[in-house]
Amino acid sequence: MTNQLEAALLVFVLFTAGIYLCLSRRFLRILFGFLILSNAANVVLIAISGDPTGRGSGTVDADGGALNRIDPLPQALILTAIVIGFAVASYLTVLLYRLYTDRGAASMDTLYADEAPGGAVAKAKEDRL
Amino acid sequence: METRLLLVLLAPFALALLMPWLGARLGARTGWLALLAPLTSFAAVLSIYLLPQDARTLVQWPWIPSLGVTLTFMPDGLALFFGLVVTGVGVLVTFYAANYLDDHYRDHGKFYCYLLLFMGAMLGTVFSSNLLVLFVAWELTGLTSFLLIGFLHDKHESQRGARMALLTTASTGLVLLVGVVLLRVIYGTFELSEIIAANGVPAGTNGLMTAAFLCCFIGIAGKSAQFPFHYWLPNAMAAPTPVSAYLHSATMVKLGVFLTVRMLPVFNGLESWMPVLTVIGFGTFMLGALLALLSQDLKAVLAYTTVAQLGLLIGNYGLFTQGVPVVWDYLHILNHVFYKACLFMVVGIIDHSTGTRDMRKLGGLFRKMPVIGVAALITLAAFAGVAPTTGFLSKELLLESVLNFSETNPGFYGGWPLFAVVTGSVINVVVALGVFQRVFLGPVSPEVEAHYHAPSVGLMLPAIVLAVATLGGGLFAADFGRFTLSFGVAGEHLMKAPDLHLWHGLTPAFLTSMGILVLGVVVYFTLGAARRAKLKIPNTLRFDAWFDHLADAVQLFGKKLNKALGFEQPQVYLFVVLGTIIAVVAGFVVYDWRQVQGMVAQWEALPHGAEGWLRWSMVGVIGVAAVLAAVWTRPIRQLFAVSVIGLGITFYYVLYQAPDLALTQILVESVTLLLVLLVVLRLKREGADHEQLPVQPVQSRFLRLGLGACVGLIMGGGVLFFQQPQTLERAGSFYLDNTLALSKGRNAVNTVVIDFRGWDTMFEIAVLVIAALGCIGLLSRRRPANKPPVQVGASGDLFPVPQDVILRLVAIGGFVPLNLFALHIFFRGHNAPGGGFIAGLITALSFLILVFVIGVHGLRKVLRFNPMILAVSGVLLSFGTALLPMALGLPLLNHLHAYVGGFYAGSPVFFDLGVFCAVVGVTLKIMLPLMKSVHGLPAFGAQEQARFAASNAEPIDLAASPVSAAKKGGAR
Repeated sequence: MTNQLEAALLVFVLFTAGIYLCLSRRFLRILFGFLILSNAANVVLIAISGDPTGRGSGTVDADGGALNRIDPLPQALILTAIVIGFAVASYLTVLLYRLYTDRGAASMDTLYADEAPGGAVAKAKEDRL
Repeated sequence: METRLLLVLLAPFALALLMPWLGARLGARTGWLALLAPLTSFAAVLSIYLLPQDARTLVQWPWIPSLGVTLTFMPDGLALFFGLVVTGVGVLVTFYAANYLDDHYRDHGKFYCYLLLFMGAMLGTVFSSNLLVLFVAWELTGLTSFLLIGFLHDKHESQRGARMALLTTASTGLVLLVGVVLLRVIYGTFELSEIIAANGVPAGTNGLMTAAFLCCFIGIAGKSAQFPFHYWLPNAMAAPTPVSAYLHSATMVKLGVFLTVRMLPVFNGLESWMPVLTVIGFGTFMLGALLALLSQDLKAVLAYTTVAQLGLLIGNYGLFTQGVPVVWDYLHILNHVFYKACLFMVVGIIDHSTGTRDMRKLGGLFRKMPVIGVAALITLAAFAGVAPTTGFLSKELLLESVLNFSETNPGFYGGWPLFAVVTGSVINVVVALGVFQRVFLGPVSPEVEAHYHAPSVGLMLPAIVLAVATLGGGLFAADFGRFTLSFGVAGEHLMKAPDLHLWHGLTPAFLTSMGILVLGVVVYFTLGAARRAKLKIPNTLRFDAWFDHLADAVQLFGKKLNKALGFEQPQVYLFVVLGTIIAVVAGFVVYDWRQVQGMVAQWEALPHGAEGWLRWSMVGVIGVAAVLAAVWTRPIRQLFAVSVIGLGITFYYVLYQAPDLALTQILVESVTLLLVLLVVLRLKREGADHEQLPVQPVQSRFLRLGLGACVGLIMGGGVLFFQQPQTLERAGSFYLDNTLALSKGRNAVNTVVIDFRGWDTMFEIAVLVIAALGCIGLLSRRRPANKPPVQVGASGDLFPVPQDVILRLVAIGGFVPLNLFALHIFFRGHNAPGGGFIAGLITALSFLILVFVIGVHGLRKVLRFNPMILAVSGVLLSFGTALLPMALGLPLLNHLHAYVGGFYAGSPVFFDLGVFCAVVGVTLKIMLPLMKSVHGLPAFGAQEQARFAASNAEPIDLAASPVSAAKKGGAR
């Protein structure tokens, strides 16, 4: 068994839960699923960057010695990914919030319901004008 | 030479960038400053024109050497001629606009910014001699004209006209790109001078050349509104009149004519040159004239006559084929520029003074404004081709060429130009007579009388100048002719021609010209006033309606397809996408089963270790939290579970020897928690978090779970089998080995972020700002109608600020230490875990904690700054630091290292500072308005709302003006 089996299991659980939530109808569940997925993607990156057992962090010695370290590049990529993930997640949050305030919808069913403001019934009424 | 050319090209761009800033301060007076740009460019072009012929040299700057793209500019006669037209009319139009756009209009800064950008793009197009550069500038004119046509963007016809113009000119522009690329395939270069020097078509490429020519011609036809693309020009008249006068008479639509001349030496020898140009060009002339006759709106009349005149100009080039030198083309163009720009300005003045452009309502304006009446009389005379204006000269010369052409070319191709020119000209005479009689003679209608106010002298001046030019050019025909000849390009134009005279005997051309006038007058009076007023364009000739139908059909097709597939909700696509991914991967696994088995066999060979138990237990915690997040149904609990996942992963990063990641993750997790909590609380208050939904069958839950599990298997299996080997990749070890030597920092993760891969970071913070802008947009344009306003309690807040003393003390007392800590983290980042991202998040969090106890307004009272400005200046600081080395001749992002005492103060610190500012600004700008908004308060102050959002009185929504759209089959 490898050291990385636990990482694979973690990725499996996170993706399963994330996708399951993302496929829901309620906005908040979709949002939670999205948050889990963005974390899961980062875990995939760090996991495939190699087993850290017995290695040092990305900070080299004062004389520049860098023996037996982890790979700093994936970490740098994840660092930016976390921050961008935050930006995108906040956009999604605000978007869902706006949908709620505009349409009064907190789920896909309400959003696409025919009677909702901007829904099929309202559209048909507008077209008749 | 180079300085003069730089001055020509850069003056409009440089001033354009200042315009929005000036516009906010000067309002309607911005135009007077904008006038500087065309004046400067005009003077510079003139100074190049006055240089002796051999001093006008090619100027080159490298741009993308690897693609063979150089910024090549060639100030030859053609470029100078069009340069003078663009800048000269530019001066007049800007002057006119400064008088025209009074305080009734908004956004003056934006208007002049677009106008100057357009001018710069025009100059770029006419001067460039690299075909790719020419194409880029060409498309830039299309983009800026889109902005100008749609300037009054709350009007439906502006939206429609702008969309139509952009779609038509941009898509035909793409065909032009195909033509340019084909030329590159044939000649191996984008440089026009080299292509011309190749002198003729390389053997065996005749078919390819014809294809290239046809592609280029489609580009020309799109830009110059030739049949079948002529429909966009009249609809572009929704623009403010100065724009119509500039773009749609004098400059942009002339680009097609310009390109025809530019490409003339390349394509002139082709057999298709003459038929294509003459048939389409002169055909458009007739069609345009006819449509002008049928229109009632003054601007539409002018637009269609412009279409016609452009056809005439392009068709004219078809007469000079197989190396026959072109003659008098500049005279035709200049004639049109003079009278058409003047007529547009006259229409603008009439519109301004009377409030209408409908010919059926106008009348008797000659007595009201005699000066304008005289100007209109002169220019209409030029339009109809009456002596002694430039129009008369132009028509006479054109008839001469056409007559000669029909003598030398028997058959259809010889007779067609003559027939078209005569027919079209007769209609032109009718149109000119009609416009003058109906607008300037007869009684003044009471509506006009009620609205009328006299135009100012400044408004009339440019029109008068152009009218004088029209008359003067005709009176001093010899000088005018010599002036236009002086722009000739050797090898394309006839350089010497006998002097022009208004009267040169009873030539066939003169007789035909007189015949046209007489016939025109006769037709005019036979038609009669009553019948003319009833004319309208038949539906079959309304190409714009056809275009609308086509644009609508695209949308309709999508809708129909959706309906046919049964996917009324876009959510279904997520299932389909995931299912496809799973199917593809499963297919590969089955297909390549042997290799998968091989990978499984390697399992035992992978290294083993003993430290795993800590990580295993973390996985246990996170896994349980993930399952709970999916199983629980109460949002607060779910949020708790999601936070546990995030914090668990923080610890997991620690175990993976990634302290930077752990620090970032824990902070981002906290901010995300706050953000989501705000929305969850709002939904919870209103009971929307557990609204009753129709029960779904159990299978659907299993389907979701199955899809999730399959994706999990794929990703988890990927983690197992696509591992980095024990030895590091080259990139990773390079960064580790060189972080101290090259970047003067010990923390390789940080130096990768801000130094080695600084490009990524630079654009990443730009993405942050974009996300924040998106959030602002979403929060600021809240439509209040659909949701009743939240009932705010006596305290004025939905979530009252807690009055707990201890909490207040902790929050306020923690502010300074937290920020000192952030400072520490910021500076240690280069050598130890930390850096701009992390420090920025700490500072942002310290503010958010503060807001929780003193409220958003409380914070605003203490701190008077706009977080967005901080974010944008952060991005600019980072970009500036990245660009700075270029000024010293070093590559981009080549950081400079310096020590102040023992303290490191190289440029990476400033780069990181930019990141810091961007993170703080973006986080606050997203959080603070949302905090206010979920509290039931408006997200922005009134002043900010005005800046970010469309004003309520003029909704942007297309749905708001459904009347005209619904009539045309529903544009939504």
